[in-house]
Amino acid sequence: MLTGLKHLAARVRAFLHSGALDRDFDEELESHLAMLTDDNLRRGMPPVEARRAALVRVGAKASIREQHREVRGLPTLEALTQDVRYAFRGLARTPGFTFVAIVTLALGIGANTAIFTLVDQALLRLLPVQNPRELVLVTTRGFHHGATWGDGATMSHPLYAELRDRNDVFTGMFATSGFRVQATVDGRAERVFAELVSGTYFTVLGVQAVRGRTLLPSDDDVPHNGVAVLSHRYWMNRFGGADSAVGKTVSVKRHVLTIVGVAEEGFDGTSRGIASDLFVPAGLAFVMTPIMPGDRELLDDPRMRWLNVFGRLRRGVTIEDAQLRLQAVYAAHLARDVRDASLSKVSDAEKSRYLQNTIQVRAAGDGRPLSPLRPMVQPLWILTITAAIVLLIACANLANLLLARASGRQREFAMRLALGAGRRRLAQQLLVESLLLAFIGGAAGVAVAMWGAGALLQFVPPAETLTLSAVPDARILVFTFVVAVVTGVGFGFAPAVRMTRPDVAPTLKSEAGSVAGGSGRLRRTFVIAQMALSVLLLVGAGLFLRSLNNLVHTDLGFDTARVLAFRVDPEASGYDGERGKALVKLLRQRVESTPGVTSAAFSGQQLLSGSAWSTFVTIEGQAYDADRRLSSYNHAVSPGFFRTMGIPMLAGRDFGAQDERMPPPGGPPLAPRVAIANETFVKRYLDGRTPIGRRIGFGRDPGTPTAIEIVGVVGDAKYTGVRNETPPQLYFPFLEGPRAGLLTMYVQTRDEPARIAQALREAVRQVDDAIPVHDMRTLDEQVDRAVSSERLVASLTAVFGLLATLLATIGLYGVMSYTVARRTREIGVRVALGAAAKDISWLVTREVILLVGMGVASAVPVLWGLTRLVESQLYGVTPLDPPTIALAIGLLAGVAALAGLLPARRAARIDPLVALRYE
Amino acid sequence: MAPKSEILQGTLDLMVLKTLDAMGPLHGYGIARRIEQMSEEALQVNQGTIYLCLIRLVQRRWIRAEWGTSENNRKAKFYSITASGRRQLVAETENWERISGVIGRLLLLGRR
Repeated sequence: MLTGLKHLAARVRAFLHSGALDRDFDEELESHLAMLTDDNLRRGMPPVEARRAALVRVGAKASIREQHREVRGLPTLEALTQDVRYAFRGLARTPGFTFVAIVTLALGIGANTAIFTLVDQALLRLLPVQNPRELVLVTTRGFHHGATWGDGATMSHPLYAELRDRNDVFTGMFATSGFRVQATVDGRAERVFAELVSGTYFTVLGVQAVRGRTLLPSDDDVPHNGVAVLSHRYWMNRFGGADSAVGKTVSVKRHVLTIVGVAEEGFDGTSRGIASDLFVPAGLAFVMTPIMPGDRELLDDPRMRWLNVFGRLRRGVTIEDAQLRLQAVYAAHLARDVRDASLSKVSDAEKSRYLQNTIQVRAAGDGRPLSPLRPMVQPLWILTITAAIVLLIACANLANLLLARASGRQREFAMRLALGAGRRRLAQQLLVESLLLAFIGGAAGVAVAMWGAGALLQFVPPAETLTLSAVPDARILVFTFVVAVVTGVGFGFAPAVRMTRPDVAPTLKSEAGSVAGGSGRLRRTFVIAQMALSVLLLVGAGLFLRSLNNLVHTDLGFDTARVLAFRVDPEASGYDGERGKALVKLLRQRVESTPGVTSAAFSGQQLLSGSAWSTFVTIEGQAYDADRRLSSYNHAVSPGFFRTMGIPMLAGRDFGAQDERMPPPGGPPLAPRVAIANETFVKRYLDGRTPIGRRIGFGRDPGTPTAIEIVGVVGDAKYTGVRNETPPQLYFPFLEGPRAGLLTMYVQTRDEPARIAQALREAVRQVDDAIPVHDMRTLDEQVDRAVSSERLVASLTAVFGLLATLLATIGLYGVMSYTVARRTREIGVRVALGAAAKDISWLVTREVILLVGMGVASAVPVLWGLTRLVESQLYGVTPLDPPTIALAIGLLAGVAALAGLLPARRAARIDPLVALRYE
Repeated sequence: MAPKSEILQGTLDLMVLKTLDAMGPLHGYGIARRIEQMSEEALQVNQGTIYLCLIRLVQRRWIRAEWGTSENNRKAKFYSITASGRRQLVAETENWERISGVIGRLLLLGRR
C-alpha cells in the first residue's frame, strides 16, 4: 500500500517534470546508441552501417519515448492535457463559431445566475439564526374586536403572554413589532427601522452580541427601560463600527435610549427584505409608535393587536401538533376575553363568531411570512422560469452549433476511426471541447450575472434592497457550475458524440451521402423547439407589457403629473399635540406661498403605498344586521386636499377652517364631527341617494352612536395601490385627530414639480431646521414605485423574449445555411435542368415556413395552459389576448423570414457549373 | 499499446534485478548486453524496452540511477540495486522458484 502510494507520487512527479525527464531520457538513449555503434564498429561494420544497425536494434525512438512517458507518468491525464490544448487550438481556429457559442452560453447562464442570485436571497435562504427550521410564526385568524397596528400583526400583548406561559410546544417564544421612527444620534436626525421586541427575542433566536449585550428577559421588567441594541449593519453605517458606540445614546422623540450592545453580523431581523436598525424593549411602544393609547396600558390591552409572535418548536413537535395544542390555550383565552368589560356591547351572534377564531402556525425560518418581498414571489418565479427557457433555447443553439461542427468533421472522424483511433478517445476529445466551451461560457455568464443582478436590484424599492446583494455567493457559483456542466455535456457532447459512429466506408467515399440525415432531423427538432419557446416568451412579454401599460395609464382619480409629495413627522421632532397641529398649519401656509406652488394640503396617509386605515361604520337609520358589514377606508386630510389632488367635488362642501377645532388645553381629543364620502361609498352603502346631512358612526355594534355628519361627496380616487379597486372611503379633517404625527404634504405645482423640490425643503427648514423632510417625490414617481414589480417582470420578460428570438433566429439561420450547403449539388442539377431562381428560393423558403409553422403550432396549446398561471399578474388584459398573440407570432415570423431569406438567396444564386464541379 | 503480460514484465524485472545484484552498477546498454549473453541471444527484444523496465524499478526504489562515465569514456547512466531492491529480489526469486516448480510438475504430469 505504502509503496503503491510512493509509486503514484513518483509518477505524479514524473508527470509534472515531463519535459526535463524527456531530455534526460533522450540523452540516455543517445549514449546507448553511441555504445552500441562503438561495438558494431569494433566488429568491423562500416560507420554508416554501424549506426543504422544500432538504431534498428534499439527500436523506434519516438515510440519508445512515448512508452517511457506512459510507464513513468500519468497517461490518462497526459492525454487530457493534450485534448485541452487541442480543444483550445480547435476553438481558436474557428473564432466565429467560438464567439457565438460563448456569447450564447454567457447570456443563458448569466440570466439564470442573476435571477437565481435574487431568488435564493429573497425566497430560499434561511435566516442566520440558530436552527432556523424550528422557528415558527404564530398568528390568529378570525374576527377581532378592537384595533390593529402594523403589518400583519394579529396579537395583543396579553394574548402573547398567555400563549407564552401556557404552551408546552415551544422551547421559547418572542413577540416583535416593527416601525419606522425618527432617531437622533449626535444631534443628527434620520429615519430608522426599529423593532420593538420582547426580552426573549435574542435568546430564542440564538443571536449573540458582538459588542456589549443583547436585550434580555430582564429588560421586560422595567416597563419604560430606555435601552437599545444596534444591528451590525446600522452600527457599521452610523458609528463606523466604533467600540465607543456602546454607551452612547439614541433619542426617539424626546426619549433617550442608551445603546447597550450590537447584534451579530448578518442578522437583520426576522423578515427578509427589512433591515432592522434598532432593537428596543416592547415596553417602549408608547414612545416609538403612533399607536393611540386606549383606556389601559398598551401591554395590558387585549383590544389592541400590534405584535407578531414567533416560537421555537420543541424537538419532535410538528407544526400541526403545535397548532392543535396552542388552539386549546387560545380557546381558553377567547372564553375569558369574551366576558371582558370592553366587549359588553357586542352582540351574542358576534361573540359566538369570535369564539370560532383559530390559531395558525407557519414555518418562519426563511423570514418570508411577513416579508415585504412577498409580492415579489410570483414575479421572481415567473422570471426564473423565463430565464430557464432562455437557457433551454441557448442550449439548443449550442447543440446545433456543435452538431454542425461535428458533422463538418465527420470525414476527419471517419478517417481517424479507419486509422485505428479509439472511439473513446474521439469522444473524450469532443467532451473536453464541450466542457471547455461550457466553462468559458459559464465564467462569462458569472460576469453577466453580476451586472444583471445589479440591474435587477434597480427594480426593487430601495428600502427592500438593503438586505439583497448582487454578488453571487459560493452556493450560486456551484449552481452556475452545475448548469454549465449539464449544458456542456447534455447539449454539446451527447449529440456530437453520435458523429463518431458513422459508417466509415460511405463517409469516406463521399460527404454528400445521407450520413448527416439523422443529425439534420435532430437539428430541425431543436429549431422547432426554439421557435415554440420563443413564441411563449414573446407572448408572455407582450401580456406583461400591456398590463404595465394599463397600470401606468389607469385613471387614479387624481392628478399625478404636477403633484409633489413629501413626508414630515412634527411629533418625532418634539412637537406634541396642539403645538404639532399649529406647526402643521404653519408649514402648509409656508409651502403654499412658495413661488411655483398653486396649492398645498396634507394627509395622514401616503397614497399608493399599501398602507391604509380602515374601520367598520354604522349609518344612521340602517338597522343592525349581523351579516352586513359596512367597512370604510378612512383618510384624514386638510382643507384643500381635493383641490390640490384634482379630485372633483361632486356635492356638498370641502372641509374648512370651521372643521379644525382645537380641544381645550389638557382636555381629551375631540371626536370627529364631519366627513366627506367618496362616490363608491354613496353608491354601495346609500343606494346612490344624496348623502349630504346623513349621519354615521364608527363601529358596527347595535346602538353605535352616529354623530358624524356627511358634508360632501368627492370623486373616486385610488387609495392603497394602483391595482386595487377604489373602496368605499370617508375623509375626515386631519387637525381634529388626536395628534400631528407622520403626515404627507401634497403640493400642486405650476410647472415641473422636480424643480421646486429644493425650494420646498428650504421652506420647511425655515420653519424649523430640525424637521427632516423625507420621501420627496412626485406622484408619478410614487405610481412608478407602486408598479415596480410589474415593471420588473415586464422589462425582463421583454428582454428575455427578444433574446430568445435572437437565439432562435441564429439557430434557424444556421440550419438553413447548412441545408443549402449540403444540397448545393442537388440545387445545381435543378438549375441545370431549368429551374428558375424563384423555384430554388421557394425550396428553401418552404422549409423555413415549415419550421416556423411547426414551432408556432406546438406553442399554442402550451400557451393556453401557461398564460392562465400568470393571470393574477395581469391587469386589464386577458391571458389569451388575441392582439398580443398575433403580434408575438408576427414578430417571430418576420425575424425568421429575414433569417431564412439569406440562405434562400444564396441558394438561388448557385451556379450549376460550380455546383456540379463541387465534388 | 497492447498491455504486456504480467509474467513477462515480472520476468524482465527479475532479470534486471538479478543482473545488477550480480554485476554491480551497470548502464542500460550493459544490462541489455548482459541479459542477451546470459540468455544466449535467445531473448532478442528491442533494446529500448529495457528502459521501460528500468524507470519502473527506479520509481519503485528498487534500483537507483546515477550519471557516470563508461569504460570507453562515454557519459552514461549507471543503475545499481538498493537494499529494498535486494529484499524484493529474494522475495521474487522464491516466488519464481515456487511457481516454476508448480508449473514444471504440472507440465510433467501432462506428459505422463
